[in-house]
Amino acid sequence: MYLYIYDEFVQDKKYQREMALIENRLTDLGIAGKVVRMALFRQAGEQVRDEARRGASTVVVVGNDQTVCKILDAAADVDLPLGIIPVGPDNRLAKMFGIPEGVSACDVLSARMIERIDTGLLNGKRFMAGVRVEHPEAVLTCEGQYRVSPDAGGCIEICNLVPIDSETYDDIADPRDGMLEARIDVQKRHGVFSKKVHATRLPIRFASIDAPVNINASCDGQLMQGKHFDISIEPLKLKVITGRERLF
Amino acid sequence: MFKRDENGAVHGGETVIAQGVKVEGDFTSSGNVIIEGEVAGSVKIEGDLRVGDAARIHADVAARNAVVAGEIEGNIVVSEKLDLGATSKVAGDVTASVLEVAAGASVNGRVSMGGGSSKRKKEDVVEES
Repeated sequence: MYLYIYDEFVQDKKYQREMALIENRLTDLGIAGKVVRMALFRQAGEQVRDEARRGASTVVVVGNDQTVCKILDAAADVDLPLGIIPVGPDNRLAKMFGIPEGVSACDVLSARMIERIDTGLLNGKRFMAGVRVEHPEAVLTCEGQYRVSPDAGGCIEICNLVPIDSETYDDIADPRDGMLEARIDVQKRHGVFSKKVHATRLPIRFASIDAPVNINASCDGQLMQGKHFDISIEPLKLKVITGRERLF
Repeated sequence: MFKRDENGAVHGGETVIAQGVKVEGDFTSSGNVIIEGEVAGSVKIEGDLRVGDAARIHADVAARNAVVAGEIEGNIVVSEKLDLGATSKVAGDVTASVLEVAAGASVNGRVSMGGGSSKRKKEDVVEES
């Protein structure tokens, strides 16, 4: 049985027509299932766990990146394939997984190309895409062996795919290799007008980020604050449904 | 050894320590590594190493093959071929099976060769030191 988790915003009037098309297409493909609508004071994760106990075979998120983040923990814990039907703005995860927006996503879902991917942990919080820290005093310690610091303040990214708030997602890390990729981009001035980005790339299994003051770390687009962040990987923890156009 | 596209970007999953970044501690890698920044501590690489002309390394370095264009202050042990470019400056002992030194390179230390197989010894070339 397919379990569809609808985000609150897709129940808005402006998505009514698109949702009707999606529901019709799912019925045509024979993969319609139980619908759970997210709402205030309703824990989507708990509902996924309950439905898994009742025999759900696939969890499908209908919404955007933030909707996926809300049920990521539960989907990984119950070990069910996770599908996405991207609706509305901010759907970078779906793009990385090769899932087109709206009704076309139903066909990708029906094809059931399942990949197992790694997930990351930032201070115990699970992430799929990556972590981004932008602070001049942030220092990265890789595998407890060496410290990496940008000399003029750069942006530290820990990529399983690529952080969803990253400026570009042309260069996506492989989420199936059992490694995270630490990236530090430092801009240096070359001549009067030109600036060049120098990109450091380090494969890591675990790392930590420290700063002398409280800093913000963006974990799959959600902000966390602290002076110390532990990062690790859970190899091949999550099953996801992907399209042929996936970017990794 | 390393693949770069027209824009100089590196592909193929290599480890890169770029300009503007400082690494302190025991740096190890099982793959190929490009160093263009600053490293202090020790460097142990199972694959190939490229040291860019802006790189400054204050560490003992071990790698399979190495191409050096920057500064290394420390001993270098390369199991196969070490290529010292015209802009390279080495202050430390050098051990390699095959050594190639370009005009302009500077080496201040002992150079030991011949650790490889007998077949390799015949191929050893020292152009200039």
